[in-house]
Formats: sequence, structure tokens, C-alpha cells
Amino acid sequence: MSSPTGSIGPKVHGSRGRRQGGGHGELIVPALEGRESKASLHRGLVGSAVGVAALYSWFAALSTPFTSRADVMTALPLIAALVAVVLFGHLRPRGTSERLASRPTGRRLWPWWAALGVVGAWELFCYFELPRFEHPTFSSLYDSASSSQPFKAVLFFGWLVLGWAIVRAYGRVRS
Amino acid sequence: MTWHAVSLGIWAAMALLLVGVGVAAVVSNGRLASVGDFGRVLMRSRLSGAVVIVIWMWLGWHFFAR
Repeated sequence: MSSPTGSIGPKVHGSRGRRQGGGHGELIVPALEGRESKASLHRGLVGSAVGVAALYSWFAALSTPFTSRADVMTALPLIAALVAVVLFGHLRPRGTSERLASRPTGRRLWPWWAALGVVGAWELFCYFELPRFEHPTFSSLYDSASSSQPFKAVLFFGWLVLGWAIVRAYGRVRS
Repeated sequence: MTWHAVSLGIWAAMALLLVGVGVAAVVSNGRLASVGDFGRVLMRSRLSGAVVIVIWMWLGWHFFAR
């Protein structure tokens, strides 16, 4: 009795599969080693980048605003982001994924616009109301919080992560 | 209760609102846009992408440098 074609028996999926052993009982081992090593390399790179960013944030938090050291520590990530944006925007051709990304997601966006609108309105209300102590803005809340150096380092790290996410999204849409 | 405490409470509510929208998007089984979807929509055009990047740059400069 023969089995339906393709249901039982050795299969090789192009260059992605690898035969192991010989004869009729050979096993098919997917070529996962290359992908695993790539994933491992990617994890290592991400881990290193996170470590460098955390260390950088710690030293950036040691700087005092309105000094040249603070200017330099803040300007370096800005320059890196700008360079990445220029590279993504001008050197990489507009491809299929940009056309796909331009399509509506089909998911409701209004909660995000509503939430950001409410937060923006509250920020504006506080900005035009005085005294500042009674109506703290986002900026004045940050000023109070940044007196703690570890907390300021966490905020700086969060700002770096946000910038990385923005530049990555910009690149993904255009690559 | 002072105005200061009321303002801080409202700021905390704003933070919870944003977190709540993010959580609602996760549990809505795809009906609401996730924060990633929202970011991609903002990045669709060069203009809105540039605006987002400039806001991020201004925030960093305002908070950490000047």
C-alpha cells in the first residue's frame, strides 16, 4: 500500500534542509544552525548596545545642564540619530514594505489621538496657569525629579530607547 | 487638598491613561492599534516622521542640555 505523495518519506526543502544519515530512513534536519547563530549574534549586539547606552546614560546624568559637557553628552545621540535618519531617508530605496506600511492598519487609532490630546491640553493648561508650584508642567516635574542622579540616568536611558525606536520605525517604513 | 496635590494627581491619571490605552490595545485582540502601529502610522509620511524626530530631539535638548 502506497502512501499519498508528500505525506511520508524524506523531504528536502531546497537549500534550507539537510539530509542526515543515508538510505530510506534518513532524517531531515532543518538548517537552523545559521539562523541560531544569527539570532545569538543579534542578541549579543542588542545586549552590548543596551549596556553601552546604560553606561552612557549614567555619565550623561552626571553632567549639569547649561554646561558644555551636558551639551556634548546630549548632542552625540542627536547627531547619531540624524545620521541614521539621513541614511534611511536618502540612501535606501523606497521599496515594497513602504508601500505596505502606507496602507491603513485597519486598527482603531482614535484612543491614542484622544489620550495624547487630553495630555497635551492638560500640559497647555498648566503652562498658562501660575504659580508654577500649583500647576506643574511636564518640564517642571522633570526638574524636580532630575535632582536624583540615578533617576535622571533612567530618564536619559528612556530618552535614548525612545529615539532608537523612532529611528528604527522610520527605517523600517522606508527599507 | 492643595492645587499642587490635585495637579500631581491629574498628572498621575494622565500617565495611567496612556498606559491604559497601551494595555487595552494588547488585550483588544488587534481591534485597537498598538503603540507600534501608532508609531508606524506617524512615520508613514516624511513630514510626520520629521515632526516626531524633531520633538524627540527638542525633548532631549530641553531636559538634559538646556
